[in-house]
Amino acid sequence: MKLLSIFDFIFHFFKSEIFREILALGLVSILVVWLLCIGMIVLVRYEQNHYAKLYERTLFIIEQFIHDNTFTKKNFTNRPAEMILLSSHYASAKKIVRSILYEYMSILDEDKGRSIRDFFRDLGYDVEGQYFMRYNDTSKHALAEAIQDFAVMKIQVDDGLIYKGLYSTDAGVRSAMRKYIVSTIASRGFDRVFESLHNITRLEAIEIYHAIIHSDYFGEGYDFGIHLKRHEEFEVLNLVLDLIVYYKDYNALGNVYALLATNQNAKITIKCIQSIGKLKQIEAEECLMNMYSTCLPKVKVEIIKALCSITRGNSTSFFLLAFREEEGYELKMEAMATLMRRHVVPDDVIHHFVEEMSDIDRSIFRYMCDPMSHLN
Amino acid sequence: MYGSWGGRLTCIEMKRILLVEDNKIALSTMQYILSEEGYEMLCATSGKEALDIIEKESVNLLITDLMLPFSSGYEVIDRMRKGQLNAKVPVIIVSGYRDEESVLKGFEVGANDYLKKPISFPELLSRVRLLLGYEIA
Repeated sequence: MKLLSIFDFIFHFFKSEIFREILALGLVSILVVWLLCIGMIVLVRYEQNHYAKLYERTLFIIEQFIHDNTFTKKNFTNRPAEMILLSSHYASAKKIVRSILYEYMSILDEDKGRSIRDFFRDLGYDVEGQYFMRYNDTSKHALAEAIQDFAVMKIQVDDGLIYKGLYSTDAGVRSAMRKYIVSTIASRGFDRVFESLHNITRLEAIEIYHAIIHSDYFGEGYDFGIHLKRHEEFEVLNLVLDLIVYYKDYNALGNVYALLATNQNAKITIKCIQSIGKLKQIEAEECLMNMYSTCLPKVKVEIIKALCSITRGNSTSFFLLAFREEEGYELKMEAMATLMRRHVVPDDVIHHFVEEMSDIDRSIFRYMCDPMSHLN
Repeated sequence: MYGSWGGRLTCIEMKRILLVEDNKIALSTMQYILSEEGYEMLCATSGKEALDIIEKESVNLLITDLMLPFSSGYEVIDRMRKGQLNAKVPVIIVSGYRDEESVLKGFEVGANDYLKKPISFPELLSRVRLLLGYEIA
């Protein structure tokens, strides 16, 4: 009976006015949602299409202008009528001109690049930038763009503005100002950049790294190692160590060893060991071997990898011992892989060594010799 | 014949250069400079396109970027060196990568020269002339 009454209720519900109204409302809502989606898609496609067309047109004008005036060594005296478009106040046109000229400035060096920078300035981007940097406190995005423009135009700004940018609450502005300093003041400004690094994210550190390695600084005269003493944050130390490795700054090795000895953070220890390994200095062997016995297993693996990269080192007996004494598979395999890569152990020593091995060690050895054999 | 960057080219045979660059602006700029100097230009915007050209057309020089869609510049050079038609063609890498590893890898796969961006066009032209065997009077 109860089941029948439920069926009866459902049957009457579908026949009722309420159901019809709900159905109609549902259908209308679906239609509205669909129309909205289609409208949005059309709008986005239109915007993209409009931007692409404007980009093509602008690129064509700028390309012709630059080819005729820069590469044929004429001056920018007679501007074609279309150049009015480039100086227009339309935000999208300005954005396109900016991106095209940025591209040109990243491709062309010295003289030609300077011509493009002058051209950029002629179009009024410096005046606009000055305005945003001095009087605008509301739009951080516009301020960051202005700083970027100043960086590519290589225009000097006063210390107050640099300070304001470096310690801005907006990450975009801070990042733009760091890039500005690196590209315009180069190594003389590195100190200011590093001083301002507090609570930076990984992304910010990567941006600074790329800004420095793409700057005019080629690795002579600046002591990155000093920042290993001044900072404690992992991201900053990571950045400094990456730069030491990139520029092969062997003078900074003393500071790296000091950091390795004093810090308590395993992440920093590993990063230091990796950096020492990449610098491939034979003198580093002793320091790494000395600290080996007191380290955590994950640090030991990094030490073995770092020692392995010092290809002409004197640590063969160390590897043999590590292979024999250690219990972790990863450590044993790294040690054996290193020995095999070095080709330093005579065959008879290896044979003698293999005979003395336990079954597990022999399996690892067989695996390293022929990875197709199974570890059993 | 005089190049617009100075120097007289004693050889007037038209040399064919394959330029591989995915950045439209860099491509058109280099194409303009080199064609102004009298070289015949073939252009590709991806590694795949470049490999297609290399298999079908005979070229005298390859200028390539490293970061390309579909196949990297290293792959293009490597495949070209292992191919039949253009295996011995000189190669210049033009790249934004400035690190030693990228440069060394470039030479390992068979590049003859490596130019770092931003490019000095007089330098690019003199290297092109050198690799194509031109003599500048």
